[in-house]
Amino acid sequence: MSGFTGLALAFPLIAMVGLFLIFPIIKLVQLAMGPPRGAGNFLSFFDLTVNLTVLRVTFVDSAIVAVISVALGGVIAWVMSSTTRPFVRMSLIATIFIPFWMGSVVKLYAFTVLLERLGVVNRLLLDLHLINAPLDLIYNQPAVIVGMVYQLLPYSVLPLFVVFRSIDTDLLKAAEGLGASRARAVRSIVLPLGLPGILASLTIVYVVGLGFFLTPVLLGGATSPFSASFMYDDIFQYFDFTSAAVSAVVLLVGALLVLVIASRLVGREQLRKVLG
Amino acid sequence: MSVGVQTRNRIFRLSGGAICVLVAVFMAIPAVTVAVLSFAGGTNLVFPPTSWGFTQYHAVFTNGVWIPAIYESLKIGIPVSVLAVAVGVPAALALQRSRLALSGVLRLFGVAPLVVPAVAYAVAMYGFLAEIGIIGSYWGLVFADCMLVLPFVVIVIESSLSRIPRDLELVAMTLGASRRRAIFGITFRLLLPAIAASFLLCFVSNFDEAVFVNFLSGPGVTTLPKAVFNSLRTGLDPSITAVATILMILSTAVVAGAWALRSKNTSV
Repeated sequence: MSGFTGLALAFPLIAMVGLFLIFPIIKLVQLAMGPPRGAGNFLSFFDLTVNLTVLRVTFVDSAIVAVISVALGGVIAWVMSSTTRPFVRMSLIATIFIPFWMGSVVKLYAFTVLLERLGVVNRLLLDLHLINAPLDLIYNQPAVIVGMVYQLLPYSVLPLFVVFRSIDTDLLKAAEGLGASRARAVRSIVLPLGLPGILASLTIVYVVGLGFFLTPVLLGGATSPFSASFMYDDIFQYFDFTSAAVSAVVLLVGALLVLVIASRLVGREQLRKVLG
Repeated sequence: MSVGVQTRNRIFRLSGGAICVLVAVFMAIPAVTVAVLSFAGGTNLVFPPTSWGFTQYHAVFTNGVWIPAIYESLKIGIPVSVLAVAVGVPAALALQRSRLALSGVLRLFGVAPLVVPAVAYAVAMYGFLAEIGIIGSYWGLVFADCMLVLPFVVIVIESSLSRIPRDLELVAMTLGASRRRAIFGITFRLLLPAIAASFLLCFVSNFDEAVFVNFLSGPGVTTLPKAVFNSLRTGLDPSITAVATILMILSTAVVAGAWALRSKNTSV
């Protein structure tokens, strides 16, 4: 096919992305810099301590989530790729996929049922006399982190599994033959060779986590200090779209920075591989 | 050496195994809890249930919330998936089979919606749809949702195309077929299972979409995830457990079907 036919075939996609992704984001930046104060809207935004707290919580908690997801996901991916028993691999894949089967809101419903004040976990602990009064397990930041890890684990396990499988196992055998323990061999062979893939997974999990809306709103409760909750309330409670647009632009710029730094570190191809 | 390599290797393996078991239990608990509770007799969410029955399943079909919501989800999901396939398949074809100058940029376009933080994208889309006056409308939501599933089509179709040898088209053309005939008669036909698979993936993914629908649809459009979201904000409706269990079984079946279709294509 000639480049021209190719362009014609790709045109609908280009048009859709232009109209429904690029244009809305340009519009968003415009509105964020519109009335009342123009670019000063951002100054007003950063002047409020509550906004700074929200930003810190959003970026730090998403980072915690990404690190936990990649650390746990890495162990699982490693066991999946190094095990000789197909049964172990299959059951791990099956359990890792559970969040995909459950539905985005239903997962959070399940967590609510489990973690509520008189939910399953608290009742169990009370019945076992491990606690005297119900614990506050939900509507706080740890609940949001647990819920996000639950949903993001598949995003870290699958690409890391591919990364680990591509590492030549003979290198490990050679290291062990030379007297290294398993842990040492993994540390000095798998980690360095898998590093680009690990960083790429970390980045993708982080950026996806930054955009989470349902989990902070439903597990974080009415007063959760996550920017997703704030944006939603700005639009639908205070009818202040400019304020929501400013938060959204800050979040986008943060995510973009992370992506740019990551693609400098590990290359764009590596990042795309993690997505596919 | 204080501890032998053998012992250390055993500790290493055991701790890896222990983490896997703990994570597997963590992953399974929410699903198992919901599935077990769906067979609870009463309306109290007590675990383990004190009585058993199909009360929740009965409620799903009679309380007038869930069936219209499922219908609404279908009404959005089918056009979204059709549109995504119609836009994504030609683009993937162009990426794989043409000398397109800007293929790198196009490839980036194809996956971009996946890496834009969803909530910021939703706010941007809200501003845009409000500006052109179709916020809260059916088609506004369809086009917006389509953006979220387009990457799946591009990724699935591109990887399937890369496994269909180009030579087959050349052979057809040597045997006298026109280029168009070669593409539609050979490549496109071999691609059909992958197209069906990507359609199913889009549909399942959109059936579960709850962020855009919350921001972009008015009170009139209540898809299934939005109905669950609304009911979760006001309290814990036990019939959700039955809805969830039915959905888990259905989505497993559909995704398994999509995988089967995809692997059918790879055996070519």
